[in-house]
Amino acid sequence: MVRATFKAPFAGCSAGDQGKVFMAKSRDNPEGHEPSPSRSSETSELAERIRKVQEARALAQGSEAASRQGDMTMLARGLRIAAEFVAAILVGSGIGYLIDEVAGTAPWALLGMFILGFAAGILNVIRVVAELNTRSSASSGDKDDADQRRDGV
Amino acid sequence: MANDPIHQFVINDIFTLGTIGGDGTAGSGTTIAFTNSALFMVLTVITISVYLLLSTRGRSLIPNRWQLSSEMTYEFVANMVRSSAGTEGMKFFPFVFSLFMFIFIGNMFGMVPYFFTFTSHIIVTFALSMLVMTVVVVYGFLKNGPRFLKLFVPSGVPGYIIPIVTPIEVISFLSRPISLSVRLFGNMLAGHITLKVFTGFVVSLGSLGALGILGSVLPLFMGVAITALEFMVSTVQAYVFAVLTAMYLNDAIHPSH
Repeated sequence: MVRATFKAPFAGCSAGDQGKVFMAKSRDNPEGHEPSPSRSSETSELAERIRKVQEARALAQGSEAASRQGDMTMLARGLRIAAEFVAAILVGSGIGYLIDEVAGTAPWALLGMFILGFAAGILNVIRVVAELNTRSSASSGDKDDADQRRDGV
Repeated sequence: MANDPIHQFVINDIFTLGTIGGDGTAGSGTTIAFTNSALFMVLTVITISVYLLLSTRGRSLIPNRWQLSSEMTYEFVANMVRSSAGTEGMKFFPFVFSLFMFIFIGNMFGMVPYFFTFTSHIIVTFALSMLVMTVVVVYGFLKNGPRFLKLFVPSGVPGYIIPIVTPIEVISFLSRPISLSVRLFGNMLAGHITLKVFTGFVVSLGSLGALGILGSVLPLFMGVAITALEFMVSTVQAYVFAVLTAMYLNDAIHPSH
């Protein structure tokens, strides 16, 4: 993506490699509008403008992506936690039921494995929340969030 | 019935390929048929193949829009795999990318009216998640041998707790394919039913005369909003499935918590 936005302006530039050389020069001393040929100062000015626009765009895109991801994970987050919790209980109860069927110990294995499944569900939820927290604080770099997590867990 | 919200999930045989099992009499055994679900899976694979082949045909240094879009998809999935499973996980990139594209395009096909959503059937999503778990278990044992079982024994746990913790860890591991498949299936099923019910209200209310037509504006807006939400859910669920695949593969590569 970055490559494309970076290359696209050059693609339109008829000067080609020559233009790149001028731009490299202008990046070394950004103030230096070389007085000699008008074309060189024109290209360096253009390079300066392109750089500014690119910076602004990168900034805007970064904040936009962060906010969008926050929105998306809020919905996915709840559904994920619910699924993890329920699935563990279902699997635990299922294993217990099978043990009962095989060993004829109904209903004790079912009850015991149900409780273990519940514990596994809690474990799943804790893992998911911890992982989501690290990811969201890593993406947004929110210091308060990270502090809260450290205190909480 | 036109207004039946479940009708969209009915599987129809397009043509039968034959039967397996049974005792030879008519109606016995299991019929293997090419269904509308299979048709849309094939269409999804064809769409993905055509899109990727055509968009990367030019392979120019300065990409056009199509090439850029496929490169962005590549980078999106590649970054996801790298951040979840590390550089070592990149050997599973083709697997994760195929899963992501298959689910994503399948979900998107589901958003087209009169199209069949194969991800709204739990057997499809369960097969996909069992594929993931099979890869995880097989690769985990191939690469780590018995050390893969360390996954069920968390490090730093005192010995007398291990008999309690290990069954919990085993159940937690076994619940992964269930939660992976139920999440995708549930989201797609619930979303499509909601969409159908709300847009069905528009028709039902609209047949009640002038006041009904006025009232049907509300479910119409709701239908538009839910359509947008469904597009988002389709994307998010494909993403979540791929991320979790990458994370489970990470467990197979580095089997210690």
